[in-house]
Amino acid sequence: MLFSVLACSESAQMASVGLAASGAGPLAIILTALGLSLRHLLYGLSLATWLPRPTQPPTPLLAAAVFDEGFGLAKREAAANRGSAGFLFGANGVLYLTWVTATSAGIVLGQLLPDPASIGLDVIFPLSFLALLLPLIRTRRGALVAVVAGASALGLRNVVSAGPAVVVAIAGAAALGAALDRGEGGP
Amino acid sequence: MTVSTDHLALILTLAALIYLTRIAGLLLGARQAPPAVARALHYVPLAAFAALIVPGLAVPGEIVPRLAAAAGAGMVALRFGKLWAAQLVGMAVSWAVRAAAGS
Repeated sequence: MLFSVLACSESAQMASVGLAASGAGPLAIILTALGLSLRHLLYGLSLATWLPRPTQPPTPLLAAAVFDEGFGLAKREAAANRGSAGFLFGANGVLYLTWVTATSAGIVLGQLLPDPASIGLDVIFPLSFLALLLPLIRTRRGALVAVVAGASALGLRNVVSAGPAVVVAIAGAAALGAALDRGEGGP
Repeated sequence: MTVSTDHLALILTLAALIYLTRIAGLLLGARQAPPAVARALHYVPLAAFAALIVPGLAVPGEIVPRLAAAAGAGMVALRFGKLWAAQLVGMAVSWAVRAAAGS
């Protein structure tokens, strides 16, 4: 609960709690959570390039608002020429409140409900990202980058743990996109 | 609810580190990036979603309902552009396929 209020990072939170439950030491937990969170670094770098900031929530506050879903929504809005730092902040404020409320509710109701994975509820994450991804693909190059990122994330997961796999896949595919792009078109 | 001191210290450390990963990108990116890097950063959202989607769909033993759900959600997303509608249809398809498969 406290973790939700302070960190609000779904993947790192799940992994830490899972590790703690299996008796892992603090160092293992910290390193795993850090590995899973490194993609925020890429998000931040990316946001700084394209996010319009007509209104200015100060950077330290905005930083608290960098996470998967909000990043996706902000990108969609920016693609339609209406995104802004204010939008990112607002969207993530809503997400944050939902996250904290829902984890609290989960603690209370958790005993009563079946395991979310067993009823397939966790498929909502890839589905949401898919719905955000598809409108972003406007060129063949964009499609290629998406395929390469997805395939390499899947392949690398068998070699390294999930966090680094995602980061390497994102960085590699984005670099490929830039190499093919050479200034025309974009994704 | 009580939290032990050890757990509290761990949670605070994690929260601080996760926050650092969030702000570092924004601060570094605020400077002028070389053109090639800037181009790559425009591909980050696309690559990030794909890298999160594929492992989430390719779950052993659940690939069929998950792919079916993705197909349904994808079509709705492209046709209507509504995130909530895509989530709803995707979940419905996923449950329908699971029910049909009797699992």
